[in-house]
Amino acid sequence: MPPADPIPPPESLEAEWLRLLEQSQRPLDEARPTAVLATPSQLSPTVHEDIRWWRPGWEDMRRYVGWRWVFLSPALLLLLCAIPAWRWPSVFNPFVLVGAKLAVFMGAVALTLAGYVVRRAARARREPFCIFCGYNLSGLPDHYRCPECGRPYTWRIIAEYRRDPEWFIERYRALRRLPPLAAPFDAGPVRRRRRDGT
Amino acid sequence: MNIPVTTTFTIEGYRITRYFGIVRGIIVRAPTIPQRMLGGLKSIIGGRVGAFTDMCEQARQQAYDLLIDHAVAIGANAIVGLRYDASDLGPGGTEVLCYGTAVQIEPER
Ligand SMILES: [Zn+2]
Repeated sequence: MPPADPIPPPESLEAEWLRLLEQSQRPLDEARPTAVLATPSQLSPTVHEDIRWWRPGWEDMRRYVGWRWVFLSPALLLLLCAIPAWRWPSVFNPFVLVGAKLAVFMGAVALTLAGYVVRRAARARREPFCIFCGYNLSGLPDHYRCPECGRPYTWRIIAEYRRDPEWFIERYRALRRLPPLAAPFDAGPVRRRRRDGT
Repeated sequence: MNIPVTTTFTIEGYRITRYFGIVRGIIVRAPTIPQRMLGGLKSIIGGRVGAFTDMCEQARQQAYDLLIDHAVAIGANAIVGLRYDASDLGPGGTEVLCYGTAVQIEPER
């Protein structure tokens, strides 16, 4: 058995969820390495490769972005300009104005930012949710089954998923590619050296 | 999920009962475009280059996450002898390897 969790047991289920929520919210630079709340290997073995994961939608993205739209919208606008310029260069061509290199660079920045928002938007959901179908699990206990899709869940797995969904899915896939391990072996009895050195 | 991870080969107060072998987490990362941009600008000025520090920290964090995944997947409840290793992969890219020995421990009686 692993040693006991140093955090005292919370009084209620809500307190436990809020604690996990706070941990998965914490910026990475506050504590490194960040505590790993759960691993994809703890998912039920009935879960297979072809699963559909819940991914943040437009509403979650809007909620996450908030004031950041100030930075994001110019980048998205540029991306929107780049597509017609590429499709119909004679009609509208900002490349002539700003130079092809800069336009490509700004497009790449826009794509990076959009990818970042998609990855982080899951944190905009404060309530526990099913990582497979996105169903709101508020009011349901820990270690239970999603009433919508019937898959088992634990709050720790949800909190870990919330931290970065894309990274969680990548880790899940990486587990499938692990090399076979040599057979484990048992440790022998411990022989303690006596204080007098004999 | 707080499995004990240590750079030492023993854990005080616990006895290793089983060795599962070496577990590792490996990640290859290059700076993202904003990191490259900010880092490049800061490199001209000198001093601490935060953008590149972030990239290296993220690479180490991700290698660590994979290490824990690997250990838990094979049924270990602790990792001893943790080490980090890093190498260059061409311009900008870095490979971070994190490895240790996955073990099963139990409290000493
Ligand atoms: Zn569900």
